[in-house]
Amino acid sequence: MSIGALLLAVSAPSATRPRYGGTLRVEIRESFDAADSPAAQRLLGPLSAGFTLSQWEPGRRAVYTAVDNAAGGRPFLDSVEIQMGRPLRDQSIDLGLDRADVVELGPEQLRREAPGRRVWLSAPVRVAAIVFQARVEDARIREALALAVDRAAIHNVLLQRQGEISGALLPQWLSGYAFLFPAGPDLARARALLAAVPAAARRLTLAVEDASWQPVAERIALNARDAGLTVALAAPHAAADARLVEARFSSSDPPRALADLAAALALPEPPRAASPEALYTAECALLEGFRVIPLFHLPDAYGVSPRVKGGPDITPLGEWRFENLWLEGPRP
Amino acid sequence: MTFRTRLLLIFTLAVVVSVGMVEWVVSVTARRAFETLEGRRVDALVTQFRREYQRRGQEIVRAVNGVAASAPVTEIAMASDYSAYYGEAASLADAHGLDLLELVAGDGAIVSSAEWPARFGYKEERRAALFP
Repeated sequence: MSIGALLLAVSAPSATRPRYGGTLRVEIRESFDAADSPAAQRLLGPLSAGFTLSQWEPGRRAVYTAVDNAAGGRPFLDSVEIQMGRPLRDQSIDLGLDRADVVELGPEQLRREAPGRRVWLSAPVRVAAIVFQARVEDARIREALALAVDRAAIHNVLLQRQGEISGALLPQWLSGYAFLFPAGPDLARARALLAAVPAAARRLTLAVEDASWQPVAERIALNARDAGLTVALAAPHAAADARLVEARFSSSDPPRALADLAAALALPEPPRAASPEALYTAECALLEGFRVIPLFHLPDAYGVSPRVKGGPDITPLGEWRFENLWLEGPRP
Repeated sequence: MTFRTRLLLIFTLAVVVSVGMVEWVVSVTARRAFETLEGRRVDALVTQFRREYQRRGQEIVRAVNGVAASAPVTEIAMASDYSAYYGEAASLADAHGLDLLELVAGDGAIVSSAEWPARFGYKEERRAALFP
């Protein structure tokens, strides 16, 4: 071996070579009571490609152990430990303190750049939308709010340009026609619509499902005020006229993805569309009347410890692929 | 009217007048003394308030100078995109003990507001007038 090759071998970081062993510590917001529930299967199901469930504490913790004779070969990791029900802020702290290897990132966490942190991003698979309750009967109020929201400002600042601005339920990469749905603000038209509404009716309450969306809700309230609509923010999970929610689809088949979103947003089930034109018509029908105002399409975002190596990590649909990941050993 | 009666009336009148005079003098003197005392107290309070107001003003000037000279604000001033600094005013206000703080760009647009974070990007005519 030449001196150059020897130096290269000595200086090459051990992390570039896969190694077996270790537990990947993952934290998530959701908590599942049963491992076979549809929600749990959507997130944890892909782990079954190389791991088997070995411990399950409902709503708290799950441990998946590597299968030696897995179809694609034994995973490098010995196990994957999942802590459930962890708030996003706590997850971020745990990642910073090296108590977790993979954590979910919300808009707030994405805004704060952490040195050495890697980020895994899926394609935009979630839609953030305002959903009105049935008691908000006046369509002019719903449309006025849709026209008042300045999506670009929220996207640039609060979401740090993650995802896409959209007025459609399905993202552009999936449907190809999302750009046809208007997403820009039109304050003049919003004011004109509200001018015809009695002053006492120009008020709404807006709640968020997740506290990390509170700054977005505050900005929406401010935009609405500019149009002449008073939007009061309700406590999270309180009964409100409208809710700022996130819905997710887990299929790359556009008609199925639209059906997923319709179900998640409590909209009528769309007819099965056989062509892009039929799908567009079905989506237009769902958005007619402004019962739902789509705002953004967002990716699944994970913050990853620098000791996690290898890949692929997540698919464009956000499914976990941990079979080919390994953990860097402790430094000497 | 008998001499005795007249004498009684004169004495009574003299007593009433002298008591009234004494009471009036005491009352006026006491009122003046109280007014003087109250005036001094008010003056002292006003002076104290003014001094406190000036002290707080100087503290705010020092705090704002501290904010202006801080590394984050220097970084913001040099940045071409302010979107990452949306939450900066709140942390700077906390660090410098300010209740209200807004960081404003050259065109009058709010970069970050401690008291009303959602107002980023908004412009106000009052502010725009400061930055013609």
